[in-house]
Amino acid sequence: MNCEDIGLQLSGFLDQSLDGQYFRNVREHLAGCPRCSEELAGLAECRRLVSSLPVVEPPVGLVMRVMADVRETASRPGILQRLFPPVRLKMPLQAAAVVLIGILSVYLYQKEDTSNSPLAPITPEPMLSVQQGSTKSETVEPPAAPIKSQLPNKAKAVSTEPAPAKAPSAPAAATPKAGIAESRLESQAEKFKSAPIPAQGVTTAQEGSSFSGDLSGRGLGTSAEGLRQPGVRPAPFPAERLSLLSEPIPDYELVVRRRPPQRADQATSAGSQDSLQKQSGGVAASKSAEARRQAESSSRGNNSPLEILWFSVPYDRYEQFKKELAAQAIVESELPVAVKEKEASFIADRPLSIKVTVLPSAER
Amino acid sequence: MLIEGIGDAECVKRVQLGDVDSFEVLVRRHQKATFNLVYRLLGDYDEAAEVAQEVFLSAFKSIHQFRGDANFSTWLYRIAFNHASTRRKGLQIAQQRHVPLDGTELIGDGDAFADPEKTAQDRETQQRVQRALNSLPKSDATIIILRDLQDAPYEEVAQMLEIPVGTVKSRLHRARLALKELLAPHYCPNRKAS
Repeated sequence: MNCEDIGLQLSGFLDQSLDGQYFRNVREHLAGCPRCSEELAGLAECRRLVSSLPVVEPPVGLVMRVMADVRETASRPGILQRLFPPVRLKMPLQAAAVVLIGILSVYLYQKEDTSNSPLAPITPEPMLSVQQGSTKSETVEPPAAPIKSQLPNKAKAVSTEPAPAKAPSAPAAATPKAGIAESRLESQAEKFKSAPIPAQGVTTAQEGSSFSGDLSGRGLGTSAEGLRQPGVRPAPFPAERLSLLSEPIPDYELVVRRRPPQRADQATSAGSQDSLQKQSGGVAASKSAEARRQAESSSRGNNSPLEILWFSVPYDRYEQFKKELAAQAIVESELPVAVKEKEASFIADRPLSIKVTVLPSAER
Repeated sequence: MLIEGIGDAECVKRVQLGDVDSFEVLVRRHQKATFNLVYRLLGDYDEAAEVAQEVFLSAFKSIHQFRGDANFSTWLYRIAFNHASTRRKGLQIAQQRHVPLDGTELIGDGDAFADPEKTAQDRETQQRVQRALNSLPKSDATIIILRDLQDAPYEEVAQMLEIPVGTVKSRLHRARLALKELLAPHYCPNRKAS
């Protein structure tokens, strides 16, 4: 072994960690090599200097400080306990809260939408169309089929007339639907036969009429003089809302009286033309069908009992509604039931619910 | 109530089961060696005290990870080595560390009847050795401290540094040569001359 190999073993030789054969080889080499002996002496001196370093006493209060920290750490939850329990407990709670809020929001939205929105879509129609003949339903589409509040004199409320040719919303295949509407109306007629008699006397909810401006379809379209507009489809009003026990509170309650037959014909003709002029999209009815309805209404309109009609009119078109109503009937009273000036800003966002009580003509 | 007679492994088990008082036994048992290791690595008494406190607190927090594969002292020294290395790196004390001159390091071995001149010479020698240790790479300094100052076996040093025993021997030899080169101008020639 040369000096370089021996040099690598000197540290082990100093620590006496060499195996027996290596230890003897190094010892024999050191005996005849002053250079390696000097190297070993230097290493031994360094080790002695290091080992002579005093053992330093730790600070007096080290144990107390350490144990204070340890006890404080032990008293509070660990980082895993602080992280995972919240994840395990709070995450489901948060997720459940989000889901619950979402469900509640949808429920409230739908509930409010149900109370404010139409129950059935209504096509744009003239401002006001009035039809006489409270037993007729001009259209037989199920969504447009009105629901009668009382049908005291009606045994059958099925229209035998064909749907208006130009009615935009009247489907071509209205015949199957007409059967459905017929059965519904019959069942409703049966139902209303057993309904209690209203305290105000004989009232009749007309069908087949609608205030054309009622885009929301909230109101039930019937008229005092008969609905002259073909294709006019009143929005069905929920039957439960027409019952005596749960009759809704209208925003306006109007009492009108039918005009005499001659005047009614004139007014009807004028109103019809006016309405037809305002119609858009080909909603106008054929004159023949209109004349037929007018004839029917003339024959029995004045003898019609007292009727209660419901309209749904946009807030900004209420005045126009009154004008058209006045053109077709005599407005005897107007009572703002639920409308107040201070509430105008609130109700401006929804259609007005208008109850029109139609009285028989004065000549009757 | 502390039980001083039980071994480290039993104390560790008790601590793992929630007995905080058993950890105090471990602290009292290993505080001197741990503190000296940190102090020799850092060369600053106050820094060493702070780091030693952190070492024990860190050991308590992670004691559930101690599986008993090695001695508790080895595991604890490894934590101390890591903390001291981090602090030493942060403070950049490898080349700039000044050994305190207030005689703190003689607290344990102070001899009131010693020769003042010899005491001063010994203190100067210790300061030079300490500065030389601080000049070494931390792994080399750690090996020298563990092996030559604390008489740790090769196997324990190897476990603490997670290197083979043969690597410990070669690194120790290299570290001693480097330390000899640093101290030779001051001591080896005189000793050789004498």
